[in-house]
Amino acid sequence: MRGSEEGLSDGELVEAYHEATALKGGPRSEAASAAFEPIFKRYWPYVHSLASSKMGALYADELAAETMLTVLERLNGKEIITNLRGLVRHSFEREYATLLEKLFQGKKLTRAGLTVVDTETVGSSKVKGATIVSLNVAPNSANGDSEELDLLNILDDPSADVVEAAARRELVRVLRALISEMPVQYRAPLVCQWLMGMRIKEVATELDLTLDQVKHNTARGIKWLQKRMPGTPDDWLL
Amino acid sequence: MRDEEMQKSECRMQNSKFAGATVNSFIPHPLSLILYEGSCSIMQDNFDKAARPASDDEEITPEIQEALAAYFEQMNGAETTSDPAVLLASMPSEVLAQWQQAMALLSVPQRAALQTMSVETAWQSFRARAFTPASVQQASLGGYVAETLAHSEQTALKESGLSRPTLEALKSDPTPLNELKGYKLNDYAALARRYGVEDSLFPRMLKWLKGLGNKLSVSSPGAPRGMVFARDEEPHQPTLTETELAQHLEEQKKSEED
Repeated sequence: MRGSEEGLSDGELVEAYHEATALKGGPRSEAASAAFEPIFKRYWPYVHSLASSKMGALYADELAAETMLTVLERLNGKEIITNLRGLVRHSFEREYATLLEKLFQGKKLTRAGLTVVDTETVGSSKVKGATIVSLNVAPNSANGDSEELDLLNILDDPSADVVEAAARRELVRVLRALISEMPVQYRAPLVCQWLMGMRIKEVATELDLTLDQVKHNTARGIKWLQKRMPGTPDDWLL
Repeated sequence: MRDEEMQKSECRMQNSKFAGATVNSFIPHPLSLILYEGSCSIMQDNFDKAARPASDDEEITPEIQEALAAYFEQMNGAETTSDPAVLLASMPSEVLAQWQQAMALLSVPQRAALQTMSVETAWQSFRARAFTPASVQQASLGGYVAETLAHSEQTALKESGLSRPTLEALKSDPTPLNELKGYKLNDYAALARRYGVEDSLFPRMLKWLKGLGNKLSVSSPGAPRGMVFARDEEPHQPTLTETELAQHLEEQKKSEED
């Protein structure tokens, strides 16, 4: 991000983006890309943090990228954007709900119900559930968020092993693909406990299963994944 | 746990799927709604696959099951729970090996979390995805069909024998060209079924698609060159630029009009 753009308000960034797309070649142009870059870089850490808190590292990158794509699409649409932060948050909730829909194949989880009021639980390790957020979330300003963003930027480690990181990313991608393919009766309890931080009792209540059924289906789900994961367990410990 | 209970559990999950299932749950494809009516059998196959118990799963030992339950409870903040290590302390080495494998798998997300993607990497990846030039986007079956229709719709209708709605649906087909690379006859047949093409029209559609591949070979950075699946009629021209391609199509259109 260029230094001059760091000081711009959200409204100015949105305005600059709209100008770029309207006057300099449309939504896929270089100008549009350059104008969206500061928006992406301002909000991606926030969205990634939200995604991690909801679904863990396995889905964080994907969920964050899908959210930013939705933000971009909505910027290109006919909506009048007066609150970029609200738009980002709303887009995240939409994508999160879509992911849950995919993982649970239509089953609505009460805890992940779509009616909970936004609690802004960034950084929480526990699931607070998907929320429908109005666009009236307080606009971003020089507040606590900047600390949160700084903290996340520390994680950008340029000395990290690139090959290892790529291999790990590929492993995560394969694991996600397998999770999407596994039988739903195994997937639902496993995802609830492994990725969403739910306790067995809660899972049993949500899925209308007995505790033993949750335990059994979870164990079978793990076995199912183990048999299909490429490589050996040593490879998974990259 | 008794098998009967297991079956009940699986039935409950199935019922819950029936209650809220959407087409998109089964076919993660942008055309799923268009294809809904013509693809009930595919949906059913997928559904059966999802609902069927995985018969190839080995027996889960009760010790592993309990240890996994204890592990998740600990991980998710339970204060009083059995320690998985204690539960498995007196187990034979095979069980312990199973446990270690499970732990290796379960640790993948934690390990991924240790190395968060940098903002810059995320941006580059996003940029490539969201701001790819249209010419590269066209390196899909849908892109090729769209371009053909844009240049000569009547010819496309005539040569393919397909209806206008089918061609419109094909325009959105995201199948990348590198996937089409290995297409065999049965793959084309599957493609035709997906779009509800009648059997009698299939040979014509096949010929058209193969011909289409020979005629259109867009050279774009990062995109596979040409439709490799179409090789058997005309020599392949992998280096046509977009301008040349437009001229080529224009000439073809003129010659057809003449």
